[in-house]
Amino acid sequence: MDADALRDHLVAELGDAVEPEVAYGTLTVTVAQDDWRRVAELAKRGPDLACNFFDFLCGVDEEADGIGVVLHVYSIPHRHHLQVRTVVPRDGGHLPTVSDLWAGANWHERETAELFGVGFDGHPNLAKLLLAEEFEGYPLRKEFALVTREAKPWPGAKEPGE
Amino acid sequence: MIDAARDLLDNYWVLMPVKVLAVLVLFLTFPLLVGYMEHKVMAHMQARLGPMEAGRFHGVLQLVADGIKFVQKESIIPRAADKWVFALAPAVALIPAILVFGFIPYGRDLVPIRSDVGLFVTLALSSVSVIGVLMAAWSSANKYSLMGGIRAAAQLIAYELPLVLAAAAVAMQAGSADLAVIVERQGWWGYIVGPLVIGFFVYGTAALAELTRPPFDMPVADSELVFGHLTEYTGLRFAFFLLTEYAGIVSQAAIAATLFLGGWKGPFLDGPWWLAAKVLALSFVVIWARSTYPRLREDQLQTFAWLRLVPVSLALLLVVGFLKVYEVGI
Amino acid sequence: MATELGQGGVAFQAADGTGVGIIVRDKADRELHTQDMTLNVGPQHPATHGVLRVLVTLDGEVIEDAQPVIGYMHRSFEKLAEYRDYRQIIALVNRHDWVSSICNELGVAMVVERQMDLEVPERATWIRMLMAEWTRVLNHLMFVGSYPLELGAITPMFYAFREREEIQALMEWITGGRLHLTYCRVGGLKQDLPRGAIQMSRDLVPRMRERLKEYEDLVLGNEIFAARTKGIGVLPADVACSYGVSGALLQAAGVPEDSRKTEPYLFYDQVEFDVPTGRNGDCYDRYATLIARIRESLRIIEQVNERIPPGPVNVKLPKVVRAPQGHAYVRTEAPLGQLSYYMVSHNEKTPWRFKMRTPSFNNVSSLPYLLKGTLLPDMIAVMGSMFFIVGDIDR
Repeated sequence: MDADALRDHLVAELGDAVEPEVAYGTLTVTVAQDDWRRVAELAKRGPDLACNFFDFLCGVDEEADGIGVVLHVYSIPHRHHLQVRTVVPRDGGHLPTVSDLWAGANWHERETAELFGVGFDGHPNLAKLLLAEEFEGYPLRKEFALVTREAKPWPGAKEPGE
Repeated sequence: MIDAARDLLDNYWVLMPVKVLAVLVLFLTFPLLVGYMEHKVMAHMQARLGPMEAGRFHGVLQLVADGIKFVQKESIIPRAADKWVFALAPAVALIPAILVFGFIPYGRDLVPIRSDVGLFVTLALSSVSVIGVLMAAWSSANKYSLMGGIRAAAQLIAYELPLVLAAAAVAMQAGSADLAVIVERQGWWGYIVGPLVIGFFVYGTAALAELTRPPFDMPVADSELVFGHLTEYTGLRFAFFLLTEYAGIVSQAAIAATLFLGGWKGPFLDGPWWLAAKVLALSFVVIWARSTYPRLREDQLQTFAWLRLVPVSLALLLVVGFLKVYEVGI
Repeated sequence: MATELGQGGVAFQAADGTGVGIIVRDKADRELHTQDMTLNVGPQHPATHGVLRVLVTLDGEVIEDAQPVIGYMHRSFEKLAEYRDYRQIIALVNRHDWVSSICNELGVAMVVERQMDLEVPERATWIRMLMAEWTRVLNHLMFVGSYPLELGAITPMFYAFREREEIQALMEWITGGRLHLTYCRVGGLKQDLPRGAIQMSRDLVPRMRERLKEYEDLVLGNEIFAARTKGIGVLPADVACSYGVSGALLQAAGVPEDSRKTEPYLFYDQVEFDVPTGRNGDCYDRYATLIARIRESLRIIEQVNERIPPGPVNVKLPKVVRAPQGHAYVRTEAPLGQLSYYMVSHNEKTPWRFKMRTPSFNNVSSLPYLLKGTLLPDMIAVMGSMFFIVGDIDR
């Protein structure tokens, strides 16, 4: 199904729970935090959706709104992509895990948890993956500055993002 | 002049040092020659050149340079290691390998030690090095060494059987366990015309496994166990283990040539040069096998020994015995 | 594979059906007390490509549990990408899969172009395809050589690197680099091909093809190689999809999923090639799929060589390149698997969020599933057949 047909199908299935958006050929549905698990299960098990291939799960810092979490899955039989997006509060934000639906989510959720500080309920082992165990802070949040010129400023042109 | 030399050599106390010297010289030159051959042959099979610098002409002195390097290294014994066992393990592996060279017939009357049971003494000596391997593995106080040593012990014990059975078939055919007599009784083409050619392949495969050469080098699988029982060894002790390996290749090749290929006999002009040629040819095949094959997994290795080689060599023994009793000439 | 017998004994059978053994476990009512051994494989170990550590719990030679510990090469690319402009990010992502650099850069250029609605000139697209396919061959050749090395066959490594040197000579001539090429730019390429490069590319193809036959005879036809890899490390198709395993590993499991075919990008829909699949999803199939993929890439290169039109290779970009507000997603078929980029932009010089979904991350996350119940020597065979690059895992 192409993105528009998929969007119509999802709106028909879930009604108000989803806010679809088609950008550059990819369908992104924004859902409330409480509907996360329900939509994920529909994506995996719904016969017209059948999204069996796990692409990624990542966080996006939405500043005042909170931390966004994006799940991207793909259906190999139907050849369509689906992005599910939600926003959780910055402090103590947590979501139910989807690692029992897609085994690949296990590591992606661990990575998002350590880089953004989002909890995942029901995850078998939410230990740090990429960072050292003693690491403090959530690096990919916007308030965590890249250390280079913070520690000691040095002369020269600044990088585009600084 | 020649009579005077002969009289002198009749004296046991003159003859013995001469023999010891000859064996030592052989022991120090042939393995190095085979080692150099390995560098060059493997290199050319891998589309590269091999040693080219040491010794001006195509790196001929490479192994001499390696020897000097090993000698001048620091002797390191890990703190948790069992010092005496660690230090003695190379000796236990090396000395029997030298002794084997004393029993091989190099020519018509050129056997350093002539013995009625020469064949079994050589086989027994070559299996003493298992103890050296185990000593090295255990005393190194290293998990990887231990695992390598256990694998080595299992492998070496398993492949003793086909080795001895194939050799026994030859002894049965020749009617004697004296290596010199075995060569005497062969034609210049050896015993490989006839059912004993199977024995040749069984002996060759079992000898490769005894030497832990690829494809049977699981105990020293360097992509898994770093270097197996030799992981903690450096310097001269390590060099002794390497020397044992190359001396083993030469001595097993020599025994195989003596048992199956006619030893020092040739189509014309019998003499030690034929034995040397056969040894070098067999060493080439050993090196060729190393370049070509991946290694067998431990359980596949054991299955191969117990379920393939042992029944084949037992069957060979039966066939040879049958032919001998009914006096069918081979 | 282990099956429980009564009274706490376990019978295990090696994955290819040989070798049955009984292990007495650590149970209170047994007299023989055994203990599981924890072995640390890596981070410095000849078998693991780079700094990957696997914490293995062993019972004799059987692996009870294997947990990969990653992060030794984490260089925080995603954080850095938020502070770099788009040309700098292209230079940065070269370092994921450092054996095939163009394929990493391609995705970045594509996702920015998609968000900016930039039209890339035709010549640039065809040349990008050519370079992507040659780097794919480079990457696959590397694993074709190094996998037999882990099993003990030392010779194919030298042959594979001889081939790679010839291709890298071509890469160096075109881009100036051998390893990190930084050849793609937003809107096209850095510079045009030198005169004679296409001819050199044409000459290389039949030579590579002929040498591929050597690998098939020497390695795939070797009985010991087959005994070590057939039936070992079987990854079923549904488990592979659930883990997000992609590339040669997924194709070996029998799923013909290849972004170049299912969602063609660049001009892959205008060239003819097949997607090879394996039957069993074991290590042997993964290796055979790799060689088959090299063949298909050579086919593509042959066709692309003849179709590169004249024209410009890049577009005139504004002084400051900004992607408009919004988010875009692009997926490409990197040699190691599916490489996706997800970019969120707030109309600034640098992206707001740049997610790099690298193939090896998902591929290696399936190791605990694959290694449970295998023998220790098979661990090397299985890990080698994952065809990962540590920089790709950790970013």
